[in-house]
Amino acid sequence: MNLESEDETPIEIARWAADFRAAAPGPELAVALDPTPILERAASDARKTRREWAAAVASTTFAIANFLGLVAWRRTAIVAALAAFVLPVLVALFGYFVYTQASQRRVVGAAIADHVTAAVRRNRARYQFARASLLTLAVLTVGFWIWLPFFLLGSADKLAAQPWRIAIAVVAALTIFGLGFWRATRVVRSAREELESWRAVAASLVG
Amino acid sequence: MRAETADDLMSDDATQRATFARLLAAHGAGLARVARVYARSPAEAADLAQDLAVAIWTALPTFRGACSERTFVYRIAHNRGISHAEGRRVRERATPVVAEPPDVADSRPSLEEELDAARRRDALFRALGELPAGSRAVLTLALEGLPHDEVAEVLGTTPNSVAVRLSRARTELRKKLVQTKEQR
Repeated sequence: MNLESEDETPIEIARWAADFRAAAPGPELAVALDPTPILERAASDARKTRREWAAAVASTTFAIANFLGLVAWRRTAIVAALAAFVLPVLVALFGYFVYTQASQRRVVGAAIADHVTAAVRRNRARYQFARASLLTLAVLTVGFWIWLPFFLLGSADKLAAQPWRIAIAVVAALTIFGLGFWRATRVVRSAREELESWRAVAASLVG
Repeated sequence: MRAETADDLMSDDATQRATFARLLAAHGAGLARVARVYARSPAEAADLAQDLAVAIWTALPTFRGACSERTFVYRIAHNRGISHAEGRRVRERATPVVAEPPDVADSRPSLEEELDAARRRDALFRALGELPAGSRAVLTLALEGLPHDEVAEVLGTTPNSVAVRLSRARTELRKKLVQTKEQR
């Protein structure tokens, strides 16, 4: 058959359709579509979702309560500053979790175009979140390296007797910030790739 | 009052189970084909088919009859299939994996005609799997025998747009099949 000939299109399509529908499910697929394990898996998935929600609510509430307690108890500028930074991050993380769950739930049974649009939005939010995290880490890193010399100068008398403590502090800071940057850049890259991939899917649906 | 509620719940559950069993009986083979289009190996297709069925069961309480049951089933199946394929693409970028052999039919001793048909089917599914997501969905739905207006409902577009996309997808599939033939 000449695959380039338009005249043969109906025959070609009929043949594709026949081949396509002739592909009956094999034994593996027949097992996969047995209702009993499907219902068991659905119940297990539902339990997992409930556990995820409970964990997200409990951890956020616990962390916020602890920070508020710390702020009320210590009443120092550094704790207040830390809380002013951490509390919005905790709320934002929880908000992002709620948003992704709600977005996925909203498009159940929706048309493919709506499903893909929602996935693009979710991935865009994830990418923006990842970029914001990287930027925050950069600000924290710069802040730390500006603060460190002042701290060292201020504690010079104590540290002069034990200079190895300075080396440990510098190596620890380099390791922590280095690992943080490595992880954050990986997350940003994967979020960007995933977003681009979903944008390509959305583009393939237009026409 | 409490007993009535429990009865209602039980009857809801029984109805949902009955509906689910009916949907699987009517569209199980179609779901398996959708899974095969989005998967790269029979084992992955079996996992994905179960995933699709779980998604349909989970979504069943949200079905209000705004579209036909078949449209509902294929919407969920393709949405889940696209997400699966995209997830795999991202995972593979992080850790490339060696693909499993696509089918065992080729290596099985069989009559010449059966082998030919199996190879053709295999090539068709592989080519469908390599198409862009939009073309893959529109063509799979059309080959499944859905009319244009139903394909449009599943995709979330108009029947006219389906005709245009279908023509484009057909050309893409033809090219892929020619490439596959030349590679052999």
